[in-house]
Amino acid sequence: MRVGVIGAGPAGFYTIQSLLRHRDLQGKLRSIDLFESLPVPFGLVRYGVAPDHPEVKRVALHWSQLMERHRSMVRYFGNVHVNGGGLSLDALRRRYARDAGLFLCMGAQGGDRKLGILGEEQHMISARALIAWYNGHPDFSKHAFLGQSGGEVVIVGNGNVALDVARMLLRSPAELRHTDCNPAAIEAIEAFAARTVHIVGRRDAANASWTARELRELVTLAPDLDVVVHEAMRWNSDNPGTRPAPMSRSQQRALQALQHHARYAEGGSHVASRHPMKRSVHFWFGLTPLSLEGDADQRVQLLCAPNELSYGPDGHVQCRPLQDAQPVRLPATAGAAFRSIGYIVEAPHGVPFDSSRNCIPNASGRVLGLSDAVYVAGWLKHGPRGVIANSLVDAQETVDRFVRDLQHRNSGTVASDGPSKTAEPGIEILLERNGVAYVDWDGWLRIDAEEHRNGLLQGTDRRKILTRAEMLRIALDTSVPKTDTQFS
Amino acid sequence: MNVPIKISLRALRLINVKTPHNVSGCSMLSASGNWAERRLWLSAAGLPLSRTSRGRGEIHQRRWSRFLSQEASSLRDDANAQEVKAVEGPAAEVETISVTFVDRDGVRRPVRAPIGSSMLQVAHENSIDLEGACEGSLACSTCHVYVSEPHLKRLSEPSDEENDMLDLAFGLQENSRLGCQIIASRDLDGMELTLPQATRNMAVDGYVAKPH
Ligand SMILES: Cc1cc2nc3c(=O)[nH]c(=O)nc-3n(C[C@H](O)[C@H](O)[C@H](O)COP(=O)(O)OP(=O)(O)OC[C@H]3O[C@@H](n4cnc5c(N)ncnc54)[C@H](O)[C@@H]3O)c2cc1C
Ligand code: FES
Repeated sequence: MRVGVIGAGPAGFYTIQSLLRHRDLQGKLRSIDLFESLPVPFGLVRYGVAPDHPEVKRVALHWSQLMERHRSMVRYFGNVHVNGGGLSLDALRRRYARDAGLFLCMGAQGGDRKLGILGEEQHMISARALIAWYNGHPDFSKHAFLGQSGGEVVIVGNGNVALDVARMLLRSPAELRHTDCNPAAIEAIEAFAARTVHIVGRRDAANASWTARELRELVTLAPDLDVVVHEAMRWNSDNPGTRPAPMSRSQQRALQALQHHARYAEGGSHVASRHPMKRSVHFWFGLTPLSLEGDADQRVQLLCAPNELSYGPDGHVQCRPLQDAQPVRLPATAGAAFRSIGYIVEAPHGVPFDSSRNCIPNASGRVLGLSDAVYVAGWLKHGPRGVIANSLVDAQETVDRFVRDLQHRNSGTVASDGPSKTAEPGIEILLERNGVAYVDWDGWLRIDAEEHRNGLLQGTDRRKILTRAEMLRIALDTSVPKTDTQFS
Repeated sequence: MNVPIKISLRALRLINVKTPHNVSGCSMLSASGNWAERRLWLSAAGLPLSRTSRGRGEIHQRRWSRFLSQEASSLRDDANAQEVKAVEGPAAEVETISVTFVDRDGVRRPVRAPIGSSMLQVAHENSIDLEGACEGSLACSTCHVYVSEPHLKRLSEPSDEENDMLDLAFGLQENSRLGCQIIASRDLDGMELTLPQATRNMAVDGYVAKPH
């Protein structure tokens, strides 16, 4: 049986791992073909997870070992953008989803959510783009972010990604030099010299969606960091019958960490820092952003309305901007106002989409509404939230469903191989015929080795290759030595 | 400022430090190499470990650069000789306790755990399917286990960092802990660790190809 996996991020690799480990599939799989639009693997582990979290990125080493151990079984096709010219999803469905299975693990490719406020297009930058830039993503590595010096930052959003941005901008460049951060970004972060960071959320601190680890790391980042909480909201007590939904353990601990490390500003007003020499992080709760305006001295102002908060019938907090309250103005250096309010999933052509849940409709990973065996895992399956560890559990569930479907189709057993009805050409031949220069696993290992070599010369573990052209040049040049995963 | 860098073993390869594959019984530089093993190897190889970060196999940046320029070539043979000692010396006499893993299929797997080793290491040495994505650096929660009652009490309270990761663990219970933070000691003899069941039917694909 030959299966296909699209997307070489956590969901793709954990799907492959689960396929290889599943009891009922032992000896049944003939090959697993993995397609990835970039020349290089690992998805958001490489281009999302912050460079100052190398311990999180270490999981990629495990996947490399998996690929090494199953070299004869798993084939990597990098630089193959499915549905982006070269190879269509329909062709892959015909090839894999008729008799075996095709797994969609493409993450959230629909960009990021917008606030929809005045001045946003002109003055606000997506955190997603900034993150791709500091992580050296080939489509973003040459951007020039943080061009204006001034040191004032505004970030709208109350999740871990917002905290990542704040932390990276406040991190000392000396520390960043020992990571795989894009060197241009390190320089820009150094020149920008963040002094004040405002983090803005609509709800209260208890309902923020960050986790305790990320929060504690930011608020204890440096001894010279002043952490201030502003509660700008007003609580509506007209409806005493409704009570807050119980907080999760994670929410409770994150709130405790904030309360422990921050000082609370009186009355939610915009107080000047008590320590003018210190850098500061200001958490603003209960604000709805209204508009962004540029002013004469290369700054932008985010205008926000304080919210009225109340608990809905389900115990979840609801907010409504107050018309009568004094608006709050938060200043940022031009080019340093970011939004980080969520990613958007995009269904590939021909696959249904559930816009209310921001994912592909599925039952335990089997895509609903399609007659062939198409499955999903990762962010595409349950929406763009959750950590890498979730995609492990998630991929196991999807693969379990796949096996049950196979058993059902073959009344109880998994057939070792369907009859090869079609005399379709091999996938390599198809790619070559369509003019796609794909990168195989050895090609990636050449890039990997080159990145390590460059890193070593600059006192760090890795310096990423920053353009597709350079990646392809190295990957396709068989004279370049590659990483020996046996050893690493 | 002392900035420790985490040195990749690939980096060692690139400067031609001899690989240990040809040293009998040595799995220290295997792809799975955990920090304890790496530390052992790094110090055996005479690599300058930073004082503050000894525990994690990190080495001191400035000294590392100096080392690179001066000692790379002379190190090679020396390291190889000492390595053998480091592996064959103490490893033989380490005291062990008995620990039982209950895997995702409910199958009980009794194993011996050397005193001082983490349950993540022990699981991997015995091909038990405990994930350990961040190799014990408290950044992933994939090494989550349930600990048997009398032994749970004997463990020290989880640190803030461990609790932070437990927050995100799948199927959290009162007796949840992270396997990479449980270190074998005498009073844990007989401990039972149950892997959370996300799904059943997982076989192990031979977790570590141990180099010999
Ligand atoms: C900024 C940020 C920081 C994060 N930090 C952490 C953290 O510290 N710890 C943690 O546990 N989690 C973190 N996460 C969450 C984690 O990254 C996700 O849970 C995980 O990456 C989701 O995996 P995925 O495989 O579904 O998607 P992705 O990682 O996005 O992988 C999808 C892959 O599919 C490829 N692809 C897309 N479309 C196509 C196509 N048409 N053809 C071929 N290939 C395609 C993409 O190039 C990509 O490689 C972070 C997320 C973000 C955004
Ligand atoms: S191995 Fe990652 S937290 Fe234990």
